[in-house]
Amino acid sequence: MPAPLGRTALIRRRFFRSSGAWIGLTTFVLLILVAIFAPMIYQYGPFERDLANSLTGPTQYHWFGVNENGLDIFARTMQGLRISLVIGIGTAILTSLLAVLVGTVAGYVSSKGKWGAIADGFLVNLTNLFLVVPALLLMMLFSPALQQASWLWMIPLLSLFAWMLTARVLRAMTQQLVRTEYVEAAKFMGVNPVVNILRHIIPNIASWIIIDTTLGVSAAILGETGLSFIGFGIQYPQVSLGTVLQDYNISAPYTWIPPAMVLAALVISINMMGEALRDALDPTSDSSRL
Amino acid sequence: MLRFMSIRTLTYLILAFVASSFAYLLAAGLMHPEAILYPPIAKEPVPLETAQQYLDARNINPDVPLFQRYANWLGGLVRGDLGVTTGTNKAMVPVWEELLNRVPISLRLVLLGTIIGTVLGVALGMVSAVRRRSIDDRAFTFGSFLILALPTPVIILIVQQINQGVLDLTGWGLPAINPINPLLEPGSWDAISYQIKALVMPTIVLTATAAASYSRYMKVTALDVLGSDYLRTARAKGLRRGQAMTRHGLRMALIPMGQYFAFAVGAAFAGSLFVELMFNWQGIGRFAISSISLADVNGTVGVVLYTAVLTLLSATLADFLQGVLDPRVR
Repeated sequence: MPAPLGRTALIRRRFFRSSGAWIGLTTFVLLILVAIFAPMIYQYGPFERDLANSLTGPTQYHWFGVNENGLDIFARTMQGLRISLVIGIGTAILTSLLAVLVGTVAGYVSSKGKWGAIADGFLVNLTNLFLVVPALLLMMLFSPALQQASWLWMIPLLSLFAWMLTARVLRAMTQQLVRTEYVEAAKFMGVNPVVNILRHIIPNIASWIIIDTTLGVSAAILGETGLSFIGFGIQYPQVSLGTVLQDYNISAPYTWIPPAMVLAALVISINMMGEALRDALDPTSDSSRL
Repeated sequence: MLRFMSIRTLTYLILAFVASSFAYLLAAGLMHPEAILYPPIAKEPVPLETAQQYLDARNINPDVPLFQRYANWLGGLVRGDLGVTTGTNKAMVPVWEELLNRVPISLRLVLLGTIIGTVLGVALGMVSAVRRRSIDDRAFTFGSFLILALPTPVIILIVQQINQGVLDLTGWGLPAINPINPLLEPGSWDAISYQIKALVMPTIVLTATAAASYSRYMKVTALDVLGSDYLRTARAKGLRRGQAMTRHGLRMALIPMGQYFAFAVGAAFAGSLFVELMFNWQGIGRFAISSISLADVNGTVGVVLYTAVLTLLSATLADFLQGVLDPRVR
């Protein structure tokens, strides 16, 4: 008789059963490797000008061609991929941390008497306020000031306007869990609320958090590219996929198609992994699969 | 119903007020429109008195406390005056006038995109759910997956490139820049047809993005409804899947969609920003970009106020729709 499967092994097996997971994972790993190594071996830098060849298509020297300003598109795309990956992954993690913090605290205290209800009401209204403020405009306001300090400020900035929907879902899930007997029992045994949340609530909502973090990476990358595209994101000494796309020229399609394809491959691979994870972690999700 | 609506509207009004106040304090605190009076922008020193007059006329004097400037702005707001444009542009155009000129240009984009996108998204999502795992469902799901994986600028580029390709091939294409052609006589049929043609590509872009996300939400809620007991009863009564869905299920499936509508308008505004930039439309989105990069405090807050009002109206409409669809909330 074979040994029974543990939860991790079961999830791993379910995850790798889907072809989407394989395609997504392979593409993602490939893109990360290319982002790390390609700028090291490629002969041009992202700001090296080759004006003699400006607006020429892909050649053996300039793999993706050269744009109007004589900048090599492959070098810029790879450098941009690095920045976009760092920002995407960083933002997704920070967003999930914020969402877990607000969501579990609001859900946990909501059933704890008058003061709990007030604290919960405050957090819910804060979430709603962040949902209605024009996030894009506020990011455009903050970004130039923050970019002067460091491009990494993009991570907290994007997270600040991305945690709300997850927090709302996590709050609702926590509210349901707080009513279960084992959480009640732990509460009456005098377990510290923080320990209680860490030990009993978070493991139960972990699958949602993992899925959301994965999909959050692609959302953050899309947000960053959009902001950089209109000129309020990553600034000069750095390049992101958004700034590469900014140099588009409709009469020379190679100026935007390669970076757009890299961006699309990145986002699609992450989304494919996210969907496969959702199926693996939540077997009941089949009815609500998107 | 009336009480429900008025309470909701009041809440949204307070939220809009808080959002724009917040934006004013941030913009006034972060931006430095007075930089125009000092080097490197100013070539020669500006006399102190002139400088003070210049700054006071625009309510951007850094010597006046921030909250005093906020109070001045608030006083203007009560009288329906949003101040004048400031920043590194010296022209003193009333923000109100600027907004009035630009709102019609942006609003037709946002409205058309949201309405067509919503209706299309709901229809596609319904079809996807009812004919689950059919070719249509797979095509729609794949299409929306693809559109949602691309940032708006890339979608615009794809549409523009296709148009350019058709233009090169057949010699006939849609206008890719400007909402109106200034060379044509205003009011003539040529000018009107140009306006309509210019609207096609931006609307395709906004519709596609709205429909993609809407059809996904709609599919999920429609699948939930399809699995419910009352729909099984309707089917047992002898209705076909599609019939049961349109007669009994659609209303229930639309209830949660109403709430997404409020966000859809905000998303359409963000989309219109890219559209206006890349199709060269002088609308609110362009104004937002230019006023933030010019450090125009009053202009920026004007744009925030506009989006707040837009969100307020769409959220009220969403609540109204929810009230009509769902008797339980009235």
